[in-house]
Amino acid sequence: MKKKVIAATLAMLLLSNDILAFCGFYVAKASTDLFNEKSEVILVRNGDHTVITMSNDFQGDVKDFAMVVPVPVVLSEGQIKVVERGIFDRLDAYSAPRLVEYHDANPCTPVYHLHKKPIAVNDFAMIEEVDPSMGIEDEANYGVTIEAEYTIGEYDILLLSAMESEGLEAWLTQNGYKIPPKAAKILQPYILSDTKFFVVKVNLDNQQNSGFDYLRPLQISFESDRFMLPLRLGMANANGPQDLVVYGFSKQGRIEPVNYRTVKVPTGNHVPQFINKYFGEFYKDLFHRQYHKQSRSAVFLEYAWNVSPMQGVKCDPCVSPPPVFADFKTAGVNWVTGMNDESQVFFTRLHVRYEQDKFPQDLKFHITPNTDHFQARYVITHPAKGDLTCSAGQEYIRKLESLRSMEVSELSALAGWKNPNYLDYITEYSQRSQSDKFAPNKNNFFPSIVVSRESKKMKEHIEKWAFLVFVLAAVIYFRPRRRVQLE
Amino acid sequence: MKLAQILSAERDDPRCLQIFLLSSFLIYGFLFLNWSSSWEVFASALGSTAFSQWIWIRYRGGSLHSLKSAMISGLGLCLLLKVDSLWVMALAGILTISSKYLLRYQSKHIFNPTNFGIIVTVFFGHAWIDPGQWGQGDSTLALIVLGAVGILLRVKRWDLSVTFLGSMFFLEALRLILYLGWDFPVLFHRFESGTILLFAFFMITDPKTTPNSRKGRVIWGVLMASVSFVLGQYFYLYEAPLIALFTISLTTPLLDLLYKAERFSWTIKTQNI
Repeated sequence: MKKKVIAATLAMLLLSNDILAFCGFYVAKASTDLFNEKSEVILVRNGDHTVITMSNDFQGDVKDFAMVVPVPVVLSEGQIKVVERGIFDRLDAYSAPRLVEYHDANPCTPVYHLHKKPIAVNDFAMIEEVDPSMGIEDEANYGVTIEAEYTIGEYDILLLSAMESEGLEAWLTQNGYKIPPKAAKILQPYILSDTKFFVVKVNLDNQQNSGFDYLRPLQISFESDRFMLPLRLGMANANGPQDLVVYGFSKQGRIEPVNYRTVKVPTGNHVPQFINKYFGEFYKDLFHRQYHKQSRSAVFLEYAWNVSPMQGVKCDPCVSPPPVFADFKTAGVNWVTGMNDESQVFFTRLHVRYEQDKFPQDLKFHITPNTDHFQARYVITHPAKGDLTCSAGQEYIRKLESLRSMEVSELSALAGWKNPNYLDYITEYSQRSQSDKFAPNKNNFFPSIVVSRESKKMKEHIEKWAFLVFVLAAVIYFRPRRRVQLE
Repeated sequence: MKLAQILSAERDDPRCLQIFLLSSFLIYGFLFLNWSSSWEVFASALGSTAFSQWIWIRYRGGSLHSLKSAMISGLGLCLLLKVDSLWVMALAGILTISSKYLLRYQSKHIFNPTNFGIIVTVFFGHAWIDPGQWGQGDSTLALIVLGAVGILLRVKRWDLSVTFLGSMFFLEALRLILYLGWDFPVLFHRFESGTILLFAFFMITDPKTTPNSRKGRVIWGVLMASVSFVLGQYFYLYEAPLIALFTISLTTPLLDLLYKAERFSWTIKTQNI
């Protein structure tokens, strides 16, 4: 009996993953513009050399724009660059969670028809940590030193070092920066750990002359043994959670956080055919559920792939072209010199939704030698077309009904979507007489697992604590015993 | 009847409890924390440690009961070490066990075996550790603390865990709260991490490689906390505690010389009676 169960499970796994997974076409992607309060960062690390590119999609009046970023060293003019916005769009498009489609062959006339669906194109929006408003500069002794001052592209940049947070706060306020009340306290630890402040505002003349109607991303590069992203300052003036997408490049392998748990988003799930219309919303809800499922405290892995110029397959299937030489150059991946074995690049996309209670520390990273590929992809299946009246065709229809009911339960499990009309989708191809419409689908090849998500969260807690009680019982069983044995 | 006797004897060996607890941590990680490692990697760790232990027993002599120690080392590798191929894990297993037989001073091995295996393989770049893998959940915390209470009552090394965690907390509180001015959640977040607790309760408390006397252990714990603190806070090494354990292990023979006490033996109770 047991063997039978295992055999059935294996067969299901084979059919649902291995056989189907060798090909497939990308139909839609869930790009970052779905998430409201978010920022995007490109993080490149090679030894102690770090390049951080911060995307900038400030929506208000550019004269109100200001940004304060803690940096470990005073940056020289050559270490600050303005880069084109397209790099973020390309990396996002390349690594976004994807929906792929498979076409079932007609079992009565076994010929393969493969169609490529039109590609949904999205662009995205973000908000950087912003301290709005900026005014005249006034020299006063607040223990603040202007270490350097540059005008680069449309930005006026100051590098400040400070003696103490009140002084810095007073200086910033004096100079027209509006510091949120909670920020002053958070500046202090950075000052004491010898951090400099990279302060940016928009140079209005240059901005008008540049011809861009948006603010371009800023890129900074420096040498530091600290490999981290400061989150705390950004949380000071935030209400509610913020999203951060990190596009990481390294020579060796995946970039992973060291002080938070990394979790892969679900992948490879079969979802109903109609999801191609709602894929963006689907992924948004899926991410939201996962975020809560992991107690709001995990960092999610959305993509990991070797993108070296020598690497053959850079995605499966590709949503958009993988990064090319020009992209590496823009992002600051300076060790790529051409088609050679030295130019090894590994790309990681991490998505974190952070809020102060669950993310009290800044994000610290390390580079692991882990080069396993990962992508978030969801599968839709187009049923066979044409005449299905042969016996194999009838069998196919029964299987299709099972597959579809599984897809619907997956949808409910992943995104929490439920709709009574989904029943029509399940039975769309089933030919049943009205009198016998409740007849069981006996050829239930795919066991349809119905997961009730309402009770799921509760159940998970019960399971966890039941596990603990079990361990407790064992610990009591193994308690130290005083034995007197006289032999 | 015979089986009952064996079971009863095994129940008195703290290593059985240790094996049970480490296995339940592994199962917990898979069920509730979405760990992604393959069973082949675990088989490789457990197989290579057991096999090398067996070879060494045949070569040097010794009781087959020490296979339990090998299993603990193997489970330790499963819980802490991540590898990019099965062979790296097998190598780690062999290094772990062989260090017990090759690196000895006065018939006591110097390094904590699992720690030695991890440090060497991580150094060669094909393995890494994932300090964030435990996260900061309530039930995770409860599980580890529960396990810790169980095992430390048995091996009587709670003094070491308490000293290490206490000094570490003190030093980090001094720096993070008093000096840098962070708020308390930052400090707590560091100590709620399963990795540091697992290290403090299950790794450094290996009775075979810790100083024999309580005084020695207290000094050892403080030293380790200090080294770990400096490496972590000033050199930004995320593997700081492991490196600290590795270096401080070298002082064990000295501390044993200074503070004499009876050596630990897994079967001390039955031997004495």
